[in-house]
Amino acid sequence: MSRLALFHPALFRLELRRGLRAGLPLLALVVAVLCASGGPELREGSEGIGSSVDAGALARGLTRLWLWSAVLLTALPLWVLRAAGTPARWRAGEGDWLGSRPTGRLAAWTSTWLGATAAGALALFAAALAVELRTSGDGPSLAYLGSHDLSDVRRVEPGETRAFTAPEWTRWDGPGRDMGDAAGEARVRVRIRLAPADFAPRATVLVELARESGESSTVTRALAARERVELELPPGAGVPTLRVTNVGSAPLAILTPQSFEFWAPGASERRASFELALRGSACLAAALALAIGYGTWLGAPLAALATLATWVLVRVVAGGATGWLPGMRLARALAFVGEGRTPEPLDPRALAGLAACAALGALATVGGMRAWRSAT
Amino acid sequence: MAQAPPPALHLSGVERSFPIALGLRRRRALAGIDLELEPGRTLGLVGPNGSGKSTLLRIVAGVDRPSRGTVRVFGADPQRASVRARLAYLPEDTPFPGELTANGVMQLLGSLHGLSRARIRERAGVLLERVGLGREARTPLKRYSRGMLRRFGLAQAFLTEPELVLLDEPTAGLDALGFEVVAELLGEARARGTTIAIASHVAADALEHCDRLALLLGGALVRQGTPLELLGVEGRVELAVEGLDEAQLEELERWITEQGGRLVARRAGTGTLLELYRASGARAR
Repeated sequence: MSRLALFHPALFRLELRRGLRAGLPLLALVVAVLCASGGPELREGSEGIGSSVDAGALARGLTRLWLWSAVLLTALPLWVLRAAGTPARWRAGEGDWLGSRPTGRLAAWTSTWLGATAAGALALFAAALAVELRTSGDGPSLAYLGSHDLSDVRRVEPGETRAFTAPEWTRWDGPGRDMGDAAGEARVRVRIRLAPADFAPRATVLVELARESGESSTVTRALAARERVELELPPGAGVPTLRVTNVGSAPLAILTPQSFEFWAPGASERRASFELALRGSACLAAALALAIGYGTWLGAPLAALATLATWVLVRVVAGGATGWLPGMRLARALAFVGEGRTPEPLDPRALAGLAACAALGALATVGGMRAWRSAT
Repeated sequence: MAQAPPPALHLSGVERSFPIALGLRRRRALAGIDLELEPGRTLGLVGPNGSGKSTLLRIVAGVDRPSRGTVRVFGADPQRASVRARLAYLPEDTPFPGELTANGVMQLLGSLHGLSRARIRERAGVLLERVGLGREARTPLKRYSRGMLRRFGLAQAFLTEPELVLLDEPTAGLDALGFEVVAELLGEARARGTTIAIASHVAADALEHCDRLALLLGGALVRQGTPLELLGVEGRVELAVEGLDEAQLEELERWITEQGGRLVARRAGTGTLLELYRASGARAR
């Protein structure tokens, strides 16, 4: 046996077994109860109706949103709290047999973390299967490609036009982004709301999307409060330009940070559940790494709260630039799924964020577990 | 000239204290322990509850660290994995994963030592049979009684054929048959040259198994020596007599008094519970 082993399969299996035993029955119960109940009703005026998504896809999206919200709200706190209690379990006696073996603290942490993560991930993918069985429907779906971030809130006064050039990656006809025949089905969505200082009940806006080659599409919409305006990407070539003109009498403001969303066809609705399971697993992995680490310094409930606080802190400090932290965009992905659409694939930077969380959790554990006992 | 091997155990000025009252105060569990044990010897750590025996064994096992002082096991720090690979430890509370079967826990513990599955299976089979748990090898530990758990704890302590065995209250919760198993396992280990440290507050453990005793009181090592040096009473000899009738016994007592001695205790002789169990057909299980 290598003295430098950083992973022990037996400890991994033990934690996997414990994680499944702790979480799977509750999660299965939640999914079963939700699946047996009626689910959400699609009402006239629901957000998304009137957009490119048909009513059936929207109804399935709402069902997925409803089920996944329950699954994630059950699974994430449950496993995080459990992981946060791991060091207390070690110190309460398990450290007696674990610490007296030729096993390093880092190896114990790694194996336990990976085991707990695998249990959570298995449960989430099982939940994805259950959600898809319950939803019992599939169809083509628009997949989120990304957004054009504005640095601040852009006001558009009555009669004024604001123009924005989309980022280079929206060229569509660029390398690796050849949309082919589907180019006409790609969409751009603009989030607009009325400026908060003005109480005009409605405003009218003209949104134009133009390609470098000259083709364009326009939509004129009367807005109330906060709305999204969606346009088809006109055929043609080049980076699109967006123009927003306030043709009404009330000032507008374009929301930040992601006012312009870009959507492409080619996804299936069912991929949404897979994406959510993947994001949930990545988020769980990062959270469990920190929860075990914090648990060596704090009690389990406090360590779980500290884990949650990490995400809040990153959100406050980093603002919108938080795609590198797994789970930070989970709520947005859920919202997309609720609209019958598919979130973008997991941001590769999230792997770097996950690695950072893992390193922090490992350091906290190794530093905090100098001894496997803290009392007689 | 060949260098003498390092002592199996060398403790110098070992102290351990734990924070209490939200860390505002500290409770001292061990105070300045100096101790040395040669390889192949059997040490008995005796003392009342709370005297620091378990804490001392945990430190030697590498589970805990001293607040101050030096601990060397076979000449090296027990925090090193290579040192812990040479020792085995039976904790007082037998806190092994209750959801696993005895075989499963043996596989878990053996794999942490780097033993192959086949080797673990072979050793576990023999040891579990020895401690009378052969038939319960596939039963989860959470269904074991306290005595069965203690016997399992003993079996796991000898799984890796360690050079140093640390046993915390090995006979606590054991029945008479379990006592016999302990005696056999310890005897075999001693014959192999294994160094053994036993923490116990049972006098029989110290007297029967140990060739050296260390008395801990309030975390301090107050005396150490052979069992006879620590527990022997000057001029006291215990005799067990068979085959005399009441009149002859009275005559023997008179003779003792005439010789200037004193009969300290006289009671009807009984066999041991083990003899009773055996006579009734019981086997260790």
